[in-house]
Amino acid sequence: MKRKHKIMLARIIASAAATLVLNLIPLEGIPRLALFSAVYLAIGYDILFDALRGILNRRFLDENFLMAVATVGAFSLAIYSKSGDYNEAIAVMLFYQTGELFQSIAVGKSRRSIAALMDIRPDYANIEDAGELIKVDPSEVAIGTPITVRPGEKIPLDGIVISGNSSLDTSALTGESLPRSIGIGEEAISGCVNLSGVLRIRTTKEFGESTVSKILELVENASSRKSRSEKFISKFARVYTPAVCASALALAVIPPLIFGEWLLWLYRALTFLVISCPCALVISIPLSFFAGIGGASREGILIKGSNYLETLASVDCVALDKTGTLTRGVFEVTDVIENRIDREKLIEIAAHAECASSHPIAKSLISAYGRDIDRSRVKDIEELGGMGIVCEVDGVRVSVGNRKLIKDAPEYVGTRTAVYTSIDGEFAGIILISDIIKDNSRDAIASLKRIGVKRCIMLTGDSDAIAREVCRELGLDEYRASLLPADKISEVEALLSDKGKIAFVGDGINDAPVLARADIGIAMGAMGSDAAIEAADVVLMNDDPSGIAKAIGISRKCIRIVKQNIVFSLAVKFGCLALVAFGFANMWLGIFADVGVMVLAVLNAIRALKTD
Amino acid sequence: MRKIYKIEVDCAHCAMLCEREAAKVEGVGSAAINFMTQKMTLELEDGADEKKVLKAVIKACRRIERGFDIEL
Repeated sequence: MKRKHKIMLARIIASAAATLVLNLIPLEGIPRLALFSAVYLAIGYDILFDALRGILNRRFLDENFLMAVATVGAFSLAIYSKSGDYNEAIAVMLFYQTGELFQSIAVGKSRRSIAALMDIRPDYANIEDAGELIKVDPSEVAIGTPITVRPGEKIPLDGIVISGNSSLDTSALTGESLPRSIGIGEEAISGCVNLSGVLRIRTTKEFGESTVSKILELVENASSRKSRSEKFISKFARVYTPAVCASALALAVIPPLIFGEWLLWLYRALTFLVISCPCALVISIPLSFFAGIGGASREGILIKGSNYLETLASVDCVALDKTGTLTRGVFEVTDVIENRIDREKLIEIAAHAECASSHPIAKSLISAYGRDIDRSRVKDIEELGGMGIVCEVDGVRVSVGNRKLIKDAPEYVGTRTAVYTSIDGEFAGIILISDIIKDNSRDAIASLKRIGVKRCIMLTGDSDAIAREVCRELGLDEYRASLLPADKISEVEALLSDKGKIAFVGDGINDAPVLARADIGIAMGAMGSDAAIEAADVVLMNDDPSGIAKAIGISRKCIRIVKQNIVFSLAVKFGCLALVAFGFANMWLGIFADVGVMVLAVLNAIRALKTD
Repeated sequence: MRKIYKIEVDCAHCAMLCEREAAKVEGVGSAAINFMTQKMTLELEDGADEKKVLKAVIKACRRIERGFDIEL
């Protein structure tokens, strides 16, 4: 509890105790009025003050104003009617303050738990100066500077590991709890926490361009895009309060003109004001969105604004890019067929032949070989565009490429990419390479179906045969193959005309325009990719496609809570207002209804933080 | 120039109102408040005096919530 909360609590307890004591002492007339007034002012002076200030600043009719008018009115009524019952006015203030205090503590607590998790800003970087490590501000470190990160410290800037091995806790960025191991030559991403060994990193980006800065910027600006519900509530509050004040005035004047009993109707009008206070709504709705976005970011899902949260909740069609989203986007050797020599040997020779190429297929051959390439074994490399490579490996003529290059080879028919190899003019075998489907892609599609997404469509530039195979394997509804990047946009546009919202999921590398065109653009595996972070509305920090269903689930829960709060608060309010107008309720019930609804709505809103 | 400040604001609705008021202050291009992290991002217009602007922002926001503050 903060200091101001403690002061408030003391005020509430003291005022409550004083009220009890005053009720036990038989006091009459002026002394009674003086003592009760003192207690009233002790508990409510700040509300009265704020109400007055609101009027001076031309911001009439906020909740302070309602409370001030109602309690001052109740107090005056008690004086005028000489009933000496000042308890009501004090009770209203007491309960109102208790509710506000509770709300402030509860919100502060949940906020701190989120803020701690989102606090990924590194405070310093260790750089070496004359053999000693000194701490400097990360924004002062130039590109190419070696920095040292000890166990337990955050990596302050993006860079490449130049010495040391360690494991990294990426949970603040990705929500992934398993540590990731890292070694020399690998990319270190800022914002991760170094767990075990000392790492020396050569920075590749300035602080402002590092991943951690990009993410912080996104997280810290998330609230500036407002959802329809929030706009609705601000507008609602602007109309609602004047409307209830007018109704209260009407209630105080019109019925007594007909029935008489001015005091009774004035009392009812004041009670009306107490109940009508809109705090439950104006506090809980923005809070729900903040909590929803906060809870999602704890799972490694960054939502750029509450308007996107709202759109995400109504997504019923998901279009997914294939390469890099559903598949790993790296080619792997999956099989060797028709081989005339030992398969290990075949891969070894092919890998050496391709050693100078930077083509993804060459890389997959080299990684399938798995050992270091001895370049001195390779001579006379000749690259034949659109066909492959001819060279000498260990003094023997080798050709590696497609079937145009090796005409006497048996033809492979299927969905994978075939690499034909011949040694010394003789066909030697076919190496099959394919893009591997991610382990959890199937589950990801299944969980999208489970939460009620009607269509899952894959968009890919690959051939029809490959697309059909992947589509069948993953259980997707439809696919569109052989698309150029521009075709993807027109496919998404065609889907846009449907009723529900459409989300496009991509890895953000070359589909930024498509991400922007869909109702919701979701970028995946964004850690380290600035383009994706910029282009998308929702960013999944890790490259696990099951985050899509999770993001939709979180946003639906949040929207559900918002709707519950709107319906529940308004129902209770209008119910109580009716009771008061017909004289079935007094001010005690009014304040219970008001504070009770607010506390329940706030507790409900905080539920949006919990994501599982 | 964009700067991020640590702030103190107690209710989510007030945060929204403060955001609107802060954006109206002279020298402020745009303002965004993140209630959860208690941070305010201000886009200061070129040539604006940061100290003066902040003072005006605090004043404008305190009109909405008395406890509003910017930690410097």
